[in-house]
Amino acid sequence: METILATVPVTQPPSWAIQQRHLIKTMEESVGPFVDRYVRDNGEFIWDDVWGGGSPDDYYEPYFNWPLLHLMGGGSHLVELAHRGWEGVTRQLTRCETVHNEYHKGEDVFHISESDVFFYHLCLADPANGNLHLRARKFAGFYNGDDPDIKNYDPKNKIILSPINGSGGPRYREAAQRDTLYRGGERYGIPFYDIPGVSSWKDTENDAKALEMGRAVHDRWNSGDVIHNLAQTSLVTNAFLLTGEEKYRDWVVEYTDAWIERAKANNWMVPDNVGHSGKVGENLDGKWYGGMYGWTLYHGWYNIQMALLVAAGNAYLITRDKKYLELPRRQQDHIFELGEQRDIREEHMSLDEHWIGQFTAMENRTETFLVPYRYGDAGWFDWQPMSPVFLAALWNLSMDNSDWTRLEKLREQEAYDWNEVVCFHNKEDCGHEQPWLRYLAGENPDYPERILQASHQETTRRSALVRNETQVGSRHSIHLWQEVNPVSSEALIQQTLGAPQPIYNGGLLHARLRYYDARSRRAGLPPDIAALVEKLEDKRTVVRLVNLNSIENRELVIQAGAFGEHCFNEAKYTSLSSEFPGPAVEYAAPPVTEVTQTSSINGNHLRVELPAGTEILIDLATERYVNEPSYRSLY
Amino acid sequence: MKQICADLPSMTQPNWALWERQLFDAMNDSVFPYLEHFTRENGEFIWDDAWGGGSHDDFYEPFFNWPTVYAMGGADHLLSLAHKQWDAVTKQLTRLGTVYKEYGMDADNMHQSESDIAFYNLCMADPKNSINETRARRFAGFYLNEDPEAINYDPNLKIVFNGHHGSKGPHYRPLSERENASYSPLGGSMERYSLPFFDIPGIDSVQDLADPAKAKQMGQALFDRWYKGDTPTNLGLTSLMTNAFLLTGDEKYRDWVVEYTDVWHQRARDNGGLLPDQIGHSGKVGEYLDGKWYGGTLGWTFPHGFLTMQFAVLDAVANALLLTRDTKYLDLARSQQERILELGEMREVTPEEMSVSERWVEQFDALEPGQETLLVPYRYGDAGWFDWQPMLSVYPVSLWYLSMDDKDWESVERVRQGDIHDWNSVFAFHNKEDAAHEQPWVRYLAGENPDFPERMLHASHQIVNRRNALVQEDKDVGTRFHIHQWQWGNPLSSEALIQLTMGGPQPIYNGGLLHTRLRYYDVQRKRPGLPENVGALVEKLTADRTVVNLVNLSTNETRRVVVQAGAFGEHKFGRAKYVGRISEWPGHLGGYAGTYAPPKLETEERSIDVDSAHLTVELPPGMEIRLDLDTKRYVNEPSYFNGPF
Repeated sequence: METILATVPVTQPPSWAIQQRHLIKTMEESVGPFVDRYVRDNGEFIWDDVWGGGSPDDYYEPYFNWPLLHLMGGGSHLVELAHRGWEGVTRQLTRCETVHNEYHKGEDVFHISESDVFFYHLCLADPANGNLHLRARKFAGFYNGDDPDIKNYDPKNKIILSPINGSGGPRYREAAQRDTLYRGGERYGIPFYDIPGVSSWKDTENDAKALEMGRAVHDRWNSGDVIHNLAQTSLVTNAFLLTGEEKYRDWVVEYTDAWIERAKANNWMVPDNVGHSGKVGENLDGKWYGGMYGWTLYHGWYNIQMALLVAAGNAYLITRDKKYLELPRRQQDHIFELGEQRDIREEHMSLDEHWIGQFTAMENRTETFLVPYRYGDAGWFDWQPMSPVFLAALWNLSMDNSDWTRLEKLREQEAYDWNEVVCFHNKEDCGHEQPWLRYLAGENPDYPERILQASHQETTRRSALVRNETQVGSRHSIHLWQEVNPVSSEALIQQTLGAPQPIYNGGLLHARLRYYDARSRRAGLPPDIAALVEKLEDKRTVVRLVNLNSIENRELVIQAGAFGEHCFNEAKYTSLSSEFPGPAVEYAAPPVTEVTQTSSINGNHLRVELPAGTEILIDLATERYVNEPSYRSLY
Repeated sequence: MKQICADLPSMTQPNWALWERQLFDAMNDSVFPYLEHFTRENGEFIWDDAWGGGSHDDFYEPFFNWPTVYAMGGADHLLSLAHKQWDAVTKQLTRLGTVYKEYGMDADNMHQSESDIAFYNLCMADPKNSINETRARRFAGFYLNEDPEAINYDPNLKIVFNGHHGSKGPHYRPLSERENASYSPLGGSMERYSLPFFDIPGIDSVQDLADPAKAKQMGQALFDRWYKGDTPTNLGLTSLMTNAFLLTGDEKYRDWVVEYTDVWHQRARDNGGLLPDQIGHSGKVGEYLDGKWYGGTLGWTFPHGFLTMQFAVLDAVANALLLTRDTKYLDLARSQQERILELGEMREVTPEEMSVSERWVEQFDALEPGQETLLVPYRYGDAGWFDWQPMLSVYPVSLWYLSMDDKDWESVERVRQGDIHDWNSVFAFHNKEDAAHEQPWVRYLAGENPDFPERMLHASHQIVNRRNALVQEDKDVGTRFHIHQWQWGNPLSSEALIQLTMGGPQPIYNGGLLHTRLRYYDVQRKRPGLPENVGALVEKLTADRTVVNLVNLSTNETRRVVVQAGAFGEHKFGRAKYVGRISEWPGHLGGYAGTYAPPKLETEERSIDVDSAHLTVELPPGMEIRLDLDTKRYVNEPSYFNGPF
């Protein structure tokens, strides 16, 4: 492995560096009080079994980013506590019967994927753990046919058999339950707009109409594949990254290809439902919309685009074929074209809390660029901001100019300054893509420091929420635990790994870099080392490393790609050309001057030695998606 | 004791606070490799006894600021290791014969005071350690004639008998030395200081001393004229007495400081505002100098003139002000400074003629060829004023700091306006005195240099790193290397933290005590200094007002800090104004989607009457406060024991 040595003394120590290490330390310290308050010694949440197992995701989500923090350099207690939590919750929910065989028994994949990300990140952070291998194989086996009893997938028609699936196999509604009332709600409305006499959720307050709607839901959502099931490609990709077995790759390719074909056939507007015969709209009078977690209900574009990005990211990762990126790209183009300037005061937004950042940044302005998230019989509705998450995720995968241009077009249309950093921590621990992209564009130089301050503020606030709330032990909101999770990974992923926060509903960590501490032989940045990715281009990665310690030398390894999927060809790096520390009799060191040195690498690892008080700027010529990806850890 | 609870959540985790804590951590860690490299297990420096004890200050100076950093919040081991070093070095030098009864035997007070500050700082940081009191009384006693072996002072004429003195009394050179006395500095480090006297026939320049006969003539003149008598440098001894007072409260120490400062003050008044530099044993000015007011030991002519004399003057006036609360004492420093400033001229620089030209390198870098800057004469001899150099800003800044008087601020401004370089700039260096960043600091206090705190901390951090690198690279240990290596390698720097956290300038290196606006105590650890995770920034100082920001960087731990008015409790707080929160924080968890951010912060002005030298501030996790404190200065009896712990 090529080794380079940092020789430039830190003279103007950057404040992002100290803010970054402070944030890591703060979060490391904040998980203790969280666990002490909410978790029993055996890892189960303090929650009475008689209150039921609810939706399992709510139990797994509170921990989802702890392994990511460890992966970047956080203490090993983060992974230990995450393991304990995962196992405790799994035991607890097995008792409550919503988890079976350590996996969701039967749920929509929108929610399953929210649990799964925690498991994926655990596998990434602890890839040598045999239990994780067993589980990853078992879970993937529920879908790829390996499990002789659990057949969620029809390989002939390349469909997952039901919108509700899991370790219990496809779940179909019992005929006896057909006459269940279905009432819509103000937030999301109703699933179908073609039921006579039902034009809005208010109509379903009437029992007779609610009965009609209930029967339609039963008939139309009972079976068949839905678009959000694409997120299960991550479950199978995860198994591939742990084991390298071809069958997993094959399944991901087959299943993703099938959906791409359907999208193509619908002019790249991806349909949201497929019947057991393989026909789009089979249970919906031939309509391409109206499936469960599809275009009409609940979230439309929001979760459909997430599923497309997740699948495209997986397929691209394991095939190295860029064509998969067309799936989310075409969809983005479609939605973008529909966008208009609208007044946010006049729109009912089903996900309004998601826009806290941009609406705050808009201050007194009320008109901005909105796109329709959902489609029903009456056309497009639910106008909301397009969300930078999707566009940034695609650009991160493609590094294509056209994808950057779309971001720029969106920025021009939106009524707020993308440089602004608003302090918030949402469910997905994301939403600060805009100022990060402006930073990468060279237009937002103090972004690193400001996002770290914002993240810190939220960690502090959440720790205070933990101390202040008095509901533990009662039947409180099931979201409480995730709402006070003190860990936030977004800023650190952007800065140290050079990537956006992974897609929350099922996304793996697609990152340009990751690190290992060569001395303690573990994943993550060594203590006192701060890292900042300053530039990302298709073939170039620029990262600055700083050793804040005044007496300890540090050594680290930079890996190209979170899964080793990229390759470094060459490193150009800063090197000291002046005398240091200079003669002891002088009160100051001679002025520091630097030169650039070049090392040829041709591999996906580079070792960097950082003596006490030194820094280095490394400009890495990078080939992306050239290696077989794997969770395999260097140590 | 009044208490305020900070309730404003810190929005930014201010960089200055993070760097303060980083600097504490870095310095806490850095003493270990330093000691590992330069000292033996028992704390003695690695130095062969056969090479002698040299000038003992060189052995004490390397750790002089360790107790100060401890007292501000550095680790406990900084204090214990400083103590260990002091004891070990004292033992080593006792063996080598330059220290007796744990004190210098026969140094001039400029050098003795460089050793003394390590001891003062130990006493300040650890007043309850009874060995400190025993030593402080003993050392002061050498000048109160309490020890028959050390009769250094004539209480009738109020003179210290000699320019060289110590634990064995005044040091008179053996008369036998006169015959072979010679002064020939050519080629040595003293050459640049020119001649001690300009009235010896045939000796007009230092070059003339190449002639052995003339060198002998000069040597004998030095012997005769400097054989005995008091010198203004001895004013630094007022700190030895004040230190004993601060530990014991014993009036005799205050009396001595007042008596000895008064007598010099009167001599300056009689001499038109400038101190005469020699008083003979009969009490006459210039008794061994043909009645001249200049030419004495470490006096106006040789070697440093105003440079070192004013340090001793500032020590004395600060001590007298502290002990008497009478600002009249400041007139002594002020009249000297004004006289020198009045002589100042805008001149082109000629570094080759400056005796301490290395001090001005950074300032002169800013000069265009032919450009003029304000220079003042530092020395006076028979041919008049000479040795023109910039006015060290530490003098007017220290004086202004003690007086908080507008006219002293005007002097600071006069020096700044005459100075060609930008006072806002922060240059990363660590000089012998661990000082000389007064200029950007006062610009910050003036509201004109807002990012000074961060840049100053960066500079300090950089220098800590450099010094660690020097220690790591040093190959000379164990050889008879430069005796200053130990102090050049000292990785601790207190200047930035004194300025920022306590709102004071670095103490005068030659004998100065720690005169600061504030000092802190940690309620939970019951020790001096800021609690862990707490940053402090004094942003404004006026005669009756102190503005300080405190922030708790910990997200999970509450910290409690006592803020003391004055390093010795000599000041008093009146009303404290601050901003408090009226909105809810952290807010509620919210419903379905939770709350992604806290409610908008709303605040109100609050105030309480503190009416004490102490105020407790509770800092819950992540909270900050900006305290605007009405302050009455020099109203309390000062003591090292005024703190709560």
